[in-house]
Amino acid sequence: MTTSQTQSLSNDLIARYLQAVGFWLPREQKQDILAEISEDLYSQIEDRESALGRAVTQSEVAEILRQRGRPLLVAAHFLPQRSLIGPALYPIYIFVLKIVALCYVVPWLLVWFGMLLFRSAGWASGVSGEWHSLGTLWTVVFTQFGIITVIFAAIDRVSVKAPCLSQWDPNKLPKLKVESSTKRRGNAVAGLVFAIFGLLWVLAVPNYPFLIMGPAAYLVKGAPVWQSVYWAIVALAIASIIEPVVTLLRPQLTWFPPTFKLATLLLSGWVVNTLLHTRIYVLPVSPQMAGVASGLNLAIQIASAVWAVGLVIALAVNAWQAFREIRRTMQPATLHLA
Amino acid sequence: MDTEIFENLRLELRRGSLILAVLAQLRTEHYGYALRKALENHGLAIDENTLYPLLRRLETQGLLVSHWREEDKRNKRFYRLSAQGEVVLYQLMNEYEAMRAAIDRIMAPIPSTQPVPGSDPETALEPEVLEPKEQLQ
Repeated sequence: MTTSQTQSLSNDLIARYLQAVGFWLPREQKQDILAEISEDLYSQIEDRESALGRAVTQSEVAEILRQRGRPLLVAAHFLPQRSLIGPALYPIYIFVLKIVALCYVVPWLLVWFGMLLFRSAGWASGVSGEWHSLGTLWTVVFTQFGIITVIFAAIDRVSVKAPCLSQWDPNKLPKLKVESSTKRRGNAVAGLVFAIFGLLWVLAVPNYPFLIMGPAAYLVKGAPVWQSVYWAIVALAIASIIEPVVTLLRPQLTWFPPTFKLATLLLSGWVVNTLLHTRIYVLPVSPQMAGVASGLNLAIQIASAVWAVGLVIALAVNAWQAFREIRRTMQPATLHLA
Repeated sequence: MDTEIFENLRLELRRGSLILAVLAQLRTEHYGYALRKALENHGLAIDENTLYPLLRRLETQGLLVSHWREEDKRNKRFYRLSAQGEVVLYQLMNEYEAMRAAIDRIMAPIPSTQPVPGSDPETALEPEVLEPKEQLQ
């Protein structure tokens, strides 16, 4: 290949490179910037040729261009720094997104999960409706996030000149949050007292059914399902004593209450799941009381369903709290102002 | 990870210094490539993707003036410091000198003829030498 052919191919490569860079540049500055980049490239090639004592090859030109960078990245250096939402508003934007996620997405997911549980418990057939509604949820979520993003982007454009970001009064800052150990201790003592009474009550119920059913204890009696879940209910009552005791004796173990609560909630989940799969909770003491038993069974079934939804919410909250506390415990100690 | 942190901090440190170096070098007229080589010869290599956008920004701010002129049969854009640029360079140099002097004072070994109350007198006599890890923090 002759020198002029090589030069022609190199020129072609540089022209193609400049064209690719130019694609991303603003029209009014495009020619000026490309002329300068072109001049710089040819100066660099000229320097290389002086050092080598010969014309550069096409592959050497390609290497120079490769080192210069991808056309898009080269062009990006000439473009103004742009961000949809600036650093001043970004923390507020993330905060609002979290609130939307917490107040809309999480409850929606929990309700959806609860509905799925009821379906699996045989209250209705098929789950296609739930899957369809989950798809709708994501459409709504992305729409909401999109709208919030657009609003914040608009505020960001306007707020550059707004005085509200520079004019503020330190005296209006919220009061310092101080974690009260006395308050925690008081809660633990109250919890312990109630837990002991609760355990005694649970232990007494099999012998004194009126403690749970009131006057209805003379009309209906407990179904066998209670025998299968009774040990778990006793275990939960004992667990509710252990938690405040540990809080009182080892208050520094901040990860323990949410983690232990999580374990007890899982056990509660097993109880409620067993109950949801059973339709008969009470039996009539005589055939005349069948109507009363039927009404009570329905009431307990509805209560179990409500309990299940509450349980799912509590599980999610406690799982998050346990994760946060464990992560905080595992992190190296940092300086705290308070 | 440490390399990445260092690289980010190095870039931050260089950013302001490069502006100062470019303004100072353009007290005499240069075109882009010649400016790059001149800075490189002084031990301050600068990437072309950094230099050209920087030149444009400084020109937009009124600190540089430029014009296209033919030299060695090629059109080149020559830059030099504007009148406003000279004032700003002078102010920046003063700021830079003050900062460098302050850092020199901070980094100077502590003369420890008097032991610090509560410290071990033997170790207090040693000049303060920072380990690389501590310097990064």
